[in-house]
Amino acid sequence: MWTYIKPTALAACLILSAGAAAADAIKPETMARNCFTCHGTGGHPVNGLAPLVGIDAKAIETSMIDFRSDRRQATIMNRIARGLSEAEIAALAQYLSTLK
Amino acid sequence: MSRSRETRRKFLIGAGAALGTLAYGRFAPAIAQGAAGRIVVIGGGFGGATAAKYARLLNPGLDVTLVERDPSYVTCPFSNMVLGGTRTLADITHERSGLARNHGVKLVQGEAVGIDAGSRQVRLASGQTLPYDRLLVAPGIDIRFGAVEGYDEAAAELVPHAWKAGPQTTLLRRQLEAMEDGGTVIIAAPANPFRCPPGPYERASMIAHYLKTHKPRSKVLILDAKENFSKQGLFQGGWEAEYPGMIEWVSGSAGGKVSRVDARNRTLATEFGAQKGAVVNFIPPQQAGRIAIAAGLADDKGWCPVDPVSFESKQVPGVHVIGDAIYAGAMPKSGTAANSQAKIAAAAMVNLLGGKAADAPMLANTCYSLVSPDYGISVTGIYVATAEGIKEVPNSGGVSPARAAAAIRKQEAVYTDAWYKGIVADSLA
Ligand SMILES: Cc1cc2nc3c(=O)[nH]c(=O)nc-3n(C[C@H](O)[C@H](O)[C@H](O)COP(=O)(O)OP(=O)(O)OC[C@H]3O[C@@H](n4cnc5c(N)ncnc54)[C@H](O)[C@@H]3O)c2cc1C
Repeated sequence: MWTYIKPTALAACLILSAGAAAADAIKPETMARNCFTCHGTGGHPVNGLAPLVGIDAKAIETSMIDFRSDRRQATIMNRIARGLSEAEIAALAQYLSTLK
Repeated sequence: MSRSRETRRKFLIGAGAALGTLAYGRFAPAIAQGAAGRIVVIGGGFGGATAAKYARLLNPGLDVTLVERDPSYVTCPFSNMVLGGTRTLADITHERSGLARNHGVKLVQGEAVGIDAGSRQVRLASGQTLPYDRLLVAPGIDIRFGAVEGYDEAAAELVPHAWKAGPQTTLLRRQLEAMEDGGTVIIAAPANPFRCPPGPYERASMIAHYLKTHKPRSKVLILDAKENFSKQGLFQGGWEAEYPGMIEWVSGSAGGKVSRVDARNRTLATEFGAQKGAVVNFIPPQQAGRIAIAAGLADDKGWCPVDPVSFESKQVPGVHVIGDAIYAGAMPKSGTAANSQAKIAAAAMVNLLGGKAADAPMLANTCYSLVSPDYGISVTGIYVATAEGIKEVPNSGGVSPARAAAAIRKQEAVYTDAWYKGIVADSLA
């Protein structure tokens, strides 16, 4: 029979293994999907912003590292690039360079 | 079938960013072998539409159905520009047909009125039921009519909220057009949390832009329930530059908190007396969309607690919730945040349907606001999941510089437009 669900208090089922060493790194494709909001699904922009496809990994990495250190000035990319570690930028750049 | 649920979590705090992963013991179901599974999405806004699209992009074998009440999507973003007269309602109205055409999402127009998490079905107002293996709920907000004395649905026809874009936006725009020069437009801004923290202040800016050009003796008075607001320094600096003396902001403790709305007289009662406006825009307190409340996804404050890694409800298993309806830790209630959460939740649903744990998330927000058509400002942030919920990555993100050349403000105004075109396409096309 159809009823609206009532709030069900789930048993506290989170077991936190504090200090556990291993956790998955954030996958580059997970990071990249955030770029797509402005730079287009799959890196194909519809709005005149820079495409993310067909660019060499090293070039992407250099731009992002330069944004991160303010060596290169933009309006918003400096603030965004600082949200990623250098290793994350390298992985992201590698992934973006594979987009077609 | 056993409904018991086992959730394990491992986490690591490193390099200022803590990452989390979840492994779901019970969700290695039959559908993981072969047939891909059914996802139903309730709500086709920036959250739900994006989730439906990306679920299909991530696994084209999935059967994805999007249930949406309205025939087209009138975006709240850029609705302030409609009020300011630089955009029309048609400019901010978009079809969802691209989701079906380009991505094979099944579109069902209707209102979801019930969820049965036991038998995993959604019921629509039409009586139709839709079975699911994973459900995503992204209903946005509903107005808490009655939370402030005098402000009910009838009052909203006289004193619009315009916090859902559409007829309310048109109503407020008409009132601004009909107003005599020399009048005061009152905008009442709510306490946190609410949809779009910079929204009321961008609205004040866009209304001031309209008044400056058409009714230059008029004023904008912001009555705020809060003591401070999003991008405050940037907005106030921009107002001084663009609209000197035109916009006044009153904090909650200085008499900004509205206790009663007298809609017929366009008067707001505050502790410091009554304020009457030529036009009054009352932005009321809000809560998660009705279906989230009805389905038991929300807590007693009216918002939905979710797991920060998978966006699965903490209250109803098998149901994910994203967008304005949730507690998202450090993330604001914005279209960009909803779009970002959608991709994480879509990937989590795809993984879980395949018997895999959700991946560690990275989330982003960017909110542009226009102070004037050529003067843009922004706030941005990158977020990760930690044991304490969604947190911003330290030493990143933040707002536009306090001092900047006009060319920089102009460039951010150009990017405001680019952001809009981009998110509409990434979510709906
Ligand atoms: C004035 C204003 C300006 C804004 N400007 C910006 C901006 O510049 N940038 C930004 O990022 N954000 C902005 N926002 C915020 C943004 O609009 C929201 O954060 C965003 O829309 C949230 O997306 P959502 O998918 O959670 O909800 P919504 O966009 O509200 O989508 C929810 C959808 O679900 C549907 N729905 C609800 N219940 C049901 C049901 N039971 N059955 C079927 N369908 C249902 C609704 O019809 C709606 O289409 C602004 C908001 C306002 C008010």
